[in-house]
Parts: sequence; structure tokens; C-alpha cells
Amino acid sequence: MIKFAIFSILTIAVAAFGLYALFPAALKPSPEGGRKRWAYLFGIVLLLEALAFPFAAMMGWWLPKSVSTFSGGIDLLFNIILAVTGVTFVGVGIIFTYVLFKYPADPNRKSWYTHGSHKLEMVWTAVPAVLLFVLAIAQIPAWLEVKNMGWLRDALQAGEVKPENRFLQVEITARQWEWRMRYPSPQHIEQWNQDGKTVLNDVRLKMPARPDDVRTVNEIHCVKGQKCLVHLKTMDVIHSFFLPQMRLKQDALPGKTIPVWFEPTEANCYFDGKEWKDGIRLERSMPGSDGKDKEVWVPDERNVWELACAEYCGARHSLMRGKLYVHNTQEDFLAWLKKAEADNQLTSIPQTEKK
Amino acid sequence: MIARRPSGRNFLRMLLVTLPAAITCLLLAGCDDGYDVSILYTPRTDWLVVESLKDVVPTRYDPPGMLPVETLDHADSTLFGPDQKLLLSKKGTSLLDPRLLPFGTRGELVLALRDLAGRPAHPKIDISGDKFMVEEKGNRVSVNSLLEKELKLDTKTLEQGSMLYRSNCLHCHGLDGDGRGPTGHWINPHPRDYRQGIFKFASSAQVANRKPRREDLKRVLVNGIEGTTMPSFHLLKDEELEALVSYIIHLSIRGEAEFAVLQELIADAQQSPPPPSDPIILRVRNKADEIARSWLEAQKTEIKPIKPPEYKSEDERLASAARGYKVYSDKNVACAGCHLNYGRDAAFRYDAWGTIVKPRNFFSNMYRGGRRPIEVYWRIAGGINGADMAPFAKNPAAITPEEDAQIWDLISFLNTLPYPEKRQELKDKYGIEVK
Amino acid sequence: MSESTTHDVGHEHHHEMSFIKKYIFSEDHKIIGIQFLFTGLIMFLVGGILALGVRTQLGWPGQEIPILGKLLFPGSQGHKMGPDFYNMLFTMHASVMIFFVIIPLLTGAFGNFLIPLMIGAKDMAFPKLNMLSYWFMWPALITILISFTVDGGAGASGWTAYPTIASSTMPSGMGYRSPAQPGSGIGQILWLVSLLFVGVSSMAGSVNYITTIINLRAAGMTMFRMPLTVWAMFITAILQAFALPVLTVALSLQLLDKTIGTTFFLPPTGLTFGNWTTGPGGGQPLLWQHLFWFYSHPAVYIMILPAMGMVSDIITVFARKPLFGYKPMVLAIAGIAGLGFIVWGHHMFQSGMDPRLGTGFMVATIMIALPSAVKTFNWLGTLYQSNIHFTTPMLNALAFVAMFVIGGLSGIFMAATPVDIFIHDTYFIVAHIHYVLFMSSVFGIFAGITFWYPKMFGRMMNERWGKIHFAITFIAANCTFYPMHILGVGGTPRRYFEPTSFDWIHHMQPINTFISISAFVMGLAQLIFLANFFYSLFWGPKADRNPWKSNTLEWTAPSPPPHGNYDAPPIVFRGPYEYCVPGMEEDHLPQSLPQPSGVPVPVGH
Repeated sequence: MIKFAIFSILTIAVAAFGLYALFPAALKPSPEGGRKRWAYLFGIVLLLEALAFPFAAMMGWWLPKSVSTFSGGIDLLFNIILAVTGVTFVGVGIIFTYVLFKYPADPNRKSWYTHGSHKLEMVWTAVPAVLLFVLAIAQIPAWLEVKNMGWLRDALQAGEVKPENRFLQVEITARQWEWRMRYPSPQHIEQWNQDGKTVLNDVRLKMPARPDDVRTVNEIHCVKGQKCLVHLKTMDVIHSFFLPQMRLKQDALPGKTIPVWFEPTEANCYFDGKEWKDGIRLERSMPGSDGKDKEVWVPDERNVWELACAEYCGARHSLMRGKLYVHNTQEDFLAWLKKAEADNQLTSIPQTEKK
Repeated sequence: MIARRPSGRNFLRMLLVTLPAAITCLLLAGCDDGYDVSILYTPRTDWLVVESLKDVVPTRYDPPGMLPVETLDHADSTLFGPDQKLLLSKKGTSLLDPRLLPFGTRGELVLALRDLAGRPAHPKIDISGDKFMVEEKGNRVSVNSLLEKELKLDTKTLEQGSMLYRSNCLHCHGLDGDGRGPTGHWINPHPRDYRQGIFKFASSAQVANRKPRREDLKRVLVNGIEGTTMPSFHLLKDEELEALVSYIIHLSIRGEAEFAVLQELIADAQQSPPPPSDPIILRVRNKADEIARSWLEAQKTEIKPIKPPEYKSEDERLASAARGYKVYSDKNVACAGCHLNYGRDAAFRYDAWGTIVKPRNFFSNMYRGGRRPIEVYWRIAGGINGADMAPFAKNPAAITPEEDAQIWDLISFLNTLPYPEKRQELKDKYGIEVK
Repeated sequence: MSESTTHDVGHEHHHEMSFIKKYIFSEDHKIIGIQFLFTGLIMFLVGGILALGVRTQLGWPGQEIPILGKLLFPGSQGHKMGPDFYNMLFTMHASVMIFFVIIPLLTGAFGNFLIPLMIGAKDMAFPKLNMLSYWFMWPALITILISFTVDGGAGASGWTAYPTIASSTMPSGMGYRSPAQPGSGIGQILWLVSLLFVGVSSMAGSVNYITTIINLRAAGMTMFRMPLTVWAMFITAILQAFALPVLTVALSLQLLDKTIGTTFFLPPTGLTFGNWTTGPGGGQPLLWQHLFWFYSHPAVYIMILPAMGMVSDIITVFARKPLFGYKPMVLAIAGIAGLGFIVWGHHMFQSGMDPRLGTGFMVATIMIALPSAVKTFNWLGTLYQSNIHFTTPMLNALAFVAMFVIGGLSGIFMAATPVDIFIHDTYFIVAHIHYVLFMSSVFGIFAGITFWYPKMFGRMMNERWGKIHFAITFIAANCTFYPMHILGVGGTPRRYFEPTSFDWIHHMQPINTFISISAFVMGLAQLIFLANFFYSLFWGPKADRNPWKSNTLEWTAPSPPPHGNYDAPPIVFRGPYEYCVPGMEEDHLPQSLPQPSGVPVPVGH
């Protein structure tokens, strides 16, 4: 549009004027005068960049809400690395700017004639080496927790799932360009909740198709505090299953079924009598008349959780949008699943299906 | 240029200038803002498929990048292989070329259509005139007002629909709803061309010129079409889906009016001397009126199952499937005639749009028109428009109880096919072997 | 063989050559270097325009583009950029910039021009092979440019060309189009062919560089008296020679998949694209990623090491101070190259590779930050207590140092596997790669061009316009690429056509608009550079032999050096970084100058 052109020109003009105001002498080819301004330029740019991160955090341009059991660890690690690199960046930036500021060419001064210092080299090799190595080792557990699925391996080895480890299974098939979900029927889930053995057969066989499966498109439903095991497949190209709020990402490989898991720690949806709504949060309120703590639902737009594709997959790559609904209790989830099953089995009433 | 000493004032000055500029940049963040007013719907220049191409049997799906009918313009194209010759023989009879019409006639048609349907930025359906009235409950009301009331084709909804269409559908379905957007050629099944006025999946009970109900279009948007590139849009708001449906109906009415009038004009041009006829603008309105009426009628009819089954146990369901097998293999019903070997060996064929389709393979566990029993019911009872799937019911508007029961049995039978264990049960209990 | 060739070259020096022999089909390393330079700069323009196309969509998603929109997207496209066009833009932007700009500029242009001059050789070891390496760029250029015009457009599967989106084809007899997307048809085939040609060119070059550096050094030029530029080129050439065959294999396999219907990257289950099915295969999509990254990770170092070498040289010249820690610098380059071969898996942490394998790659990746850190500290050490002359090349070199710090530090986030789960394939990666490849390599290239321009063309570039160009580019480039980190932390996935499609990233759209505006400013600023470059080519002030008062050998030759380079074969007496030697009037002590009396010989040099 025209405003686009106008603003481009305006910005160039402003940038040019800013430069002119700041650097009239620096741009002169003569060896004298105004040289320190280049140090200012570098210094200001580096300073603004250092400030950009806190500024972005203030503006809310930051990590999305973190709501899975392992997302806290990932965020902690992110913050540790941010702190370490931030300190390094600021340190190097200060030294760099200081050096530029302090040592512009001066005909009266000679450079320090040195070819380096063995001691210094040792120090600045050894210190980062130790730091980096510690950083590297420290993150192995978090990584294996997410991707190695020790809990499932243990269960498969033991031949039984312990009651506290009961999990939900979904098969998600990605294709150009949407996600198709397949849940076991409510009867199966109830059966699996009773008995920790037969469910492992389904894990091994990666959820074979059954006539009473419940199918949905682009929405995952799971339960707060319960592991959700996803059998990830794709029909055509590589897609990537990305749940930003769960800090989970896994490519779906053609020809393979890849297991992924996550366990949400917060619920984001409830039944309003007509349909399941997300964008809502449970909050503990003052004790009621019976003296017990009560939980109430509060609207919260940060609780709209989405599913995205993160591996380039063609034209509508950026439009493979799905939603994640985390139910507060197993009963809520089963209620939804039964409703979805009924909708799947509709034999009359051409109603306007939505949700 | 005088060398100035660095001073705080310079920084201040630079900040004062750059900060407002930076803030303006941030405020500028633009988004989709709909079509430019200068954009017009494009006049139709592609081949019209006027009769069924049933006797031309293709041997495979067409490769990406070109619709089968478009290969007619590239007679030397090797892309389409041997099937292209067959199609070429249909030039002039089943396939008509609107580009052969005189330039003036086509220009007149463009103006008439703009009068009818507006432009993408300001879409409308305007069939005004004394003629275009409908008798309703004793009152005479204009078609226009009915379209607004019953089909929600008011300008506000259409404008919203147009914006949504631009950001969600345009790149496949194209500006005119011709299914020839930039990505449209490259996917198969090709995106639906609305300009024929035919929509495959409908629950309306019309016999001739069957139009879908708004719910049917919305259902496709909500569920997507499994096994095709049509994704689900159920995360859009309800109101947005309604607006999209309205806009699609708008495109379809415009396109079908164009299609019908072009067909007439070509027929006229072949006669010499050309027969006397109405001015084009009137012809367009007459056609649009006809089309609008059948859309309106479709909203009132519905294929209603008489007695939805309630299976109390898996055995009952299996018994129904066994009865369904009998219906399936009934010579008079002739399901297997097209769905050869349960659709696994089905032959390719051309549909009403001149694209290549294949009867469903029942083992694939893929249901394009939806997998709910009621959706399958509509397709069996009322047929699939444009794809030669004939209605099972003699009169879809009044299904007989026997037909009803038979359809439900058929559905039970089809539902067992994708699952090996179910097929085994069918064999063990009823001796029905499906290989 | 090399001896006789150089003899011939020296002999020819005295004859007048025709224009074509001298400037087109030249065997002279300097002309070949300049040829690479011009092709690289032209492709830089092409790549830049493609990038601005990408930024237009991202900054103002879905809006009609003034004027161009009507021309490019007529008819049923509704005057709006379609996603396939966008995908083609970003794919070709990356491919052009990486394979036709940065690699040819760094190794082709500077490698060819500088290596013989800096080690005191008359020419390359194999001048004919050298010419071949340039002329193999042309089929590559032609195929990649033609691919824009073919059916379905140029390749659109990202520069990484992952199967199965890149490799899927129709069953045999149904043409070369792909069911996955338009760009994966003939466009992708041409892309593969083009890259194969680039590979041949690079391979010919790297063999030549290795041989030249090992065999043709001037008398007294020991390995540890070579300037860092030559060291960097040497190690880069080794990297290329060992990594390229793997890419060639990968490209050939995909080409076979796409043309004769092999199934190296097609899984046994086959693929379904709507009505089309590919039929069963026998391969593995993941295989490509291993092969591709086995080359393309070292390639990242191929794209930065030469710049590091050049920047080290430029910094010492304008700081008038010996390089701090010459040997650690050399070791750091070697360390980066060595580690560079065992870190390719860090591109594949989320790809479905065994997670336990990921830990090994992660440790190696994090450790690669170490040599990079050592290099940065040594540059700072060099600048400390020096005399910094802020000339255009120096400013660009300083920008390299400052920006490389950011690019290096952001790499640590991605190396950390758990953090990478979130950061992977987001704009954080885009920011990182641009800080390394644009902010570092391209500033290195600018530094190199402005620094060696007098040697290449015998004229000086305009200093003032050089500085204006630098200042605008530096500010605008930072405004362009730094906010991408923020987008990445917010979780915006890369290669998104529609950046506003998700709730959790929609609110960051102002950043995208800001980036786009900065990108346009930066793009326009490059016109200043081009104008300066071409103006100075004809009307710049004449340069003498050693305008920067540098120590290295190339500055003892005339500007521009004739065929055969030196008036007399140079003899080298010391390392390249003897500036401000105590006891000397002059502040530099060229490598080929015999030791002046009264000046102590530094230990170990």
C-alpha cells in the first residue's frame, strides 16, 4: 500500500538524519576528529541489544505460559543460559566498546608490541571450557526426561502400569495440512483405568484402529495431571508436533510412529452447558461458607493453548492450527469423550455441528 | 560540514527523531484488509463442461499442475499422457470454449455479472426487478429480500465473508471460486469449482438441480474433507463460518449464472442467423433468479431418516451388517457395478467438472463426505451430486420405510469393511466372506 | 607439474593478451577471483530482492503489494501473494545467499585472489582447474535462474530440501511434477542439479587451494608465518574437500529419486497426497538429514572461517598492533573445523533420531563454542592498547567481531537440547543464522572488499560513502535481525507464510513490521555500496602499492598486480603481524623486508 512506501521513505530519512546528527565528523575521511563516535555507535547498538531482552519480557513478547511437568525445567535452563550468555555479552560488549573508545589512532602513542600471553590464553580457554562442559552435562537429565520416556520403558519392562502412572493415549496423524486425532472409546479408557496390563498391548501395537474409536480434527483433549501419550504419524511429508505451552516439539516422520508425551499441570477448559470452552483458568478463592477452599473458573486469554506445525510442510504450513484442551478431571474428559463419541455416531438430527 | 564535538544534545536529537518513527512503525503493523476496490471478478475463459463425459474413461489420475480440461489448450502437452486424446475428441460437444464468443458479447456479460454480483471488495447478489417476486404465505416478496433473509446474502455478511475468503480460501479456490488459485492446480482432488453450482455433499431432497443446504456447506468447513487437501476450519468462530458460507453461495450463484448464460450464448452463436433474444443483462437476471430459487428451495427440503436404528448389542449390529450385505449384492441396487471389488478396483471416471474421480474404496476407512452414519445416509439416499452416485431412494423427499431400513443395513455393512476382526466375525457368524 | 605451469604463466606475462583471454577465459587467479566477486555481488542483489519479498509478506501479511501485486499475481490469484510463491521466495533466498553469494565470495573470490598473493606464489598450482572451478559456476547459475521460470516455480522446500516434501514424485510415466507441492517438481530437480555444479566448482577450488598452500609458498614462508587469512582458507578448503562428497552423494540420491524413481528417501509405507499415492518405497527420509547436515554443518564454518581470517588481518593492520595469540588463533580455527564434523546431529534433535544420540551431539556442539570464544578474546586482546584507525574496512571488521559474539552466544541456546525443544525451528534459529551469516560473514566480505579493493583494481573506494553505507547497514541490519531473537523466544516458527495465524504469536506482529521496514532500509543501503564500488572502479583515486601500510606480501606487488604478481620472487623473513616494532621509526615491518639493523628479532618468528 501507499502508506508502506511512505513509511519506508520516512524511516530512511529519519535514519539518515539521525546519522547526520550523530556522525558528521566521523564520516569525514580526514584522520582527525570525532573518531570516538564510532565507539558510541557500537556501544549504543550493543547496549540497546542487551536491553532488548528485558524490554521484550516487559512487553509480554516472551516465552508462552509454561504448563507441563517438564516445561519448568526447560524454562529454568533457558533462563540460566540467558543469564550466562547475557553476562558474557555485556562483559564482552563493555570491553569492546571501552577499547574502541580508549584507543582510537593517536600519532603520539605507539601500540603495545605483544604477540599474546600464554597465561591469558590458558585462562580464557579453561574457564569457558569448564563452564560450557558443566552446562552441557547439566542439561542431559531434562532432555532424557522429555524424549527418552523412562516411565513408559519401565512400565513396558514391568508389564504393568502403576495406578499413579495411568496415561491417556491418542493417535495423531498429520497430513497436508491438518491434524487428525483418534481416541480410544470411553469404554476402552475405563477398562484401561481398571487394569494396568492390557493397555500396554495397545502401546506396543500403537493403537490399532477400532470401529468405536472417537475421531476429532485439530483438537487434542487431555486431563490435568495425567500423562498423555501421543502416537505421532504422518501421511505425507515431515510435520512437527509443536505444543508451545507444553514446551514440546517432535517431528512426525513418514513411515514411522513416534511416541511423544506430556503431562499438563493446569486445566484450561470447562463445560458451559453447551460446549467446551477454553481460555479459562482455575483459581483458588476464599473459603466458602462450609469452610473449605473453593476453586472458581476465571477467564484468562493466556490459557488458549495451540498446536502448531513447526517443520516446513508446504503451502498451508503456517495454518495447521490445532487447539489443546486440558480438562480439570478425568470425569470431565470422559464426559467430553462421550459427547464426541455420540457426535461421531450421529444417526439423525442434521444439527449444525460445531465442537 | 563542520566537525562538531560529541555532545549530549546530538543524542537527544537523534532519540527525539528516531523514537517517534520507531513507534509509528510499530503501530503500522498491518494485517489482511480485504480486497482492493479495483479488483474485479475475472470473466470466465476456461472450458465449459456442459455434458457428462461419461463415455470417456480415463486410465489414471491427472498429474499435478494442470486440470484435465486445461490440457485442451496445450494440445502438444505430454503431461497428461494418452488420456488427453480422448478428451480432445469431446471438443465442441461436451466441452465448449467461451473464448470463441465475440469480444463485445463477453464484455457485456462481464458488466451484467458485475451488476448482479458486485466486486470482491463489495460483493452482493442483486436480482431486482418486478418480475423477480416469490409468493410466500400469501404475500409477494422479492427474491432479493428472501436471499437476504434465508440465505444470509446481505452485503455486510458477504463483505465479512469476502475478507475471510481472501485470507483462508483464495489461494486454492481462486478469486472467482473457480478452484484455480495458485495452489489449486497442484492438489488432487482439485479444489471445488463453485461456478457450476454443484456441490457434492448435500442433505437436501431436491431431485433436479440439487443444491446443498447452508448446514451442508458449513459441515464441510467444520470437518474438512478427509483424504483431500480441504482442511478443517472449525477453529473459526461460528459467525465467521456463516459468513464464509454466504460468500461461497454468492460466488456459486454468480458463477452458475455466468456458466448458464455462456452456454446459451455459445448455442446462439452456432445458429445463423442468431435467434432473437433478450439483452444479456436480462438473461443473467433470469438465470440468477432461477438459480436463487433452487437455492431457496433446497433450504426447505431435507432427507430425513424415518427410523434411526438403535443397536442394543454388537450382535444386532452384525445382524444388520449381514442384511446390508444382501442389499449390497442385490443386482438391482448394483453397488458393486461402480464400487468394483468393494471399490478397490473401481474405474476412473470424469465428474461434472471434468476432473477425474474414482468411486470410494470401502476398505480405506476414509469418508470424504463425513463418517457419521447420518452423513453416509444422506449420500446413499440422495446420491452425490456431480459424481454419478445415483440416489438409492426413489424419491429422496419421501423415503419409504423399506428403503430406510435397507440404507441403515448398508451403512452397518460398510462400517465393518475396514476392520479385519469385524469381517472375520461376519464370516464366522453369517458365512459372509468379504475378501 | 605445478612448477612448469607457473613457469608458463610467468612467461606469458610479457605478451599482450586479447580481452577475452585476459578477462573472460582467464587462468590468472586474480581475474578468476574478481570474476567470482562480480558473480557473487550480482547474486547478492538477487538474493536480497528475494529476501525483501519474504519480508513484505511477513511485515504486512495478506496486504496487497503496491504495483507489483497486480503484475505478479493477476487473475484468479486475487493480486495476493500465495503461500507457494512465498515458499519459493524464502527457499531461493537461502539457496542463493548460501551457495551463490557467501561461499563463492569467501572461498571463490577472496580465496583465489588472496592465497597466491599472500603466500608469495605467482599463481595457483593448477590454473586451468581454477578456471574450470569458475566456469562450473555458470551452469549452476543458469540452472538456478532458469528454475524460476519452469512449471511450478523454483524449488520451494527450504534450502534444506528435506524429503519427503522435496523428494516426492509421481509414479513413473506421470512426469517430473511432485504431488507434495508445485516447487518440488522440475524446480527442485534444477535446484539439485545446480547444487551439484556448485559442488564441483567448490571441490575444484578446494583441491587447488590445498595444493597451492602446501607447495607454492615463497622462500621463508613457513606454515606459521602465513597470515590468518591463508590459514583460514587452508582449513576451509580441507573442510570442503572432506564434507562435499557427502553432499554430492545426498544430492545425487535425491536426484535419482526424483528422476528415475529410486526410493532412497521414500519410506516402505509409501505416502498419500489426497488422491495420489507414491507406492511403497524402501528408504528412510531421515537418511537425507544425516547426509545433508554432515555437509551443511561444516558448510556453516566454510561460510565463516575465511571471514574470520580476513578480519584478523584487517584488524591488525588498522590497529597497528601484532595479532594477539597467533598460534591459539590457528588452533581455534582447526578446532572449529575438527569439531565441526561431529556436531551435525544438533540440527536433528527433534527429528525422531534416537534421543540418547542427541546427548553426544549436544556436548560436542556446546564445546564448539570454546574455540569461537578464544578467537573473540584474542581479537579483543589485539585491540587492547592499539591505535585504531576507523577506516571503512576496519569498521566492517569490528562489526564482524561484535556481531559474531551475538551469533555465537545465541548458538548455545540451540545446542542445549532441552531448550532446543522449544527453540528449534523458530525465529531464534533464523536470528542466529543471520547473525552468523549476514552480520558476520557479510560484514567480513564488506571488510575484505573495501580492504583489498585497491589491490584488486588499483583504485581506492570512497571512504565517506563507505562509512555511510557501513553505518546504515550496521544499524538497519541490527534492527532487522536482533528482534528475530525475540520472535523466537516468543515461539514463532520459521518459514511461516502467515505470522498472525496463531494466538500465541499474533501479538508480536509489530515486531515483524519493524523488521520489514529495517530490512528495506538495509536493502536500499546496499545500493550505496554498489554505487561506490562501480564509481570507484573508474573514477576512484589511484592507489599506490601499499595504501594501508600493511605487512603481508600482497602489498609488495603493484596495484593491481600483473600476471605473475611480483616484480621478483619475494623472500619472507618473519610473521605477518609485526606492527609498531620497538626501536623502529616506521610502524610496520613488511614480511619481505630484510631485518633492519638495531631491531631485535622476536622470539619464535
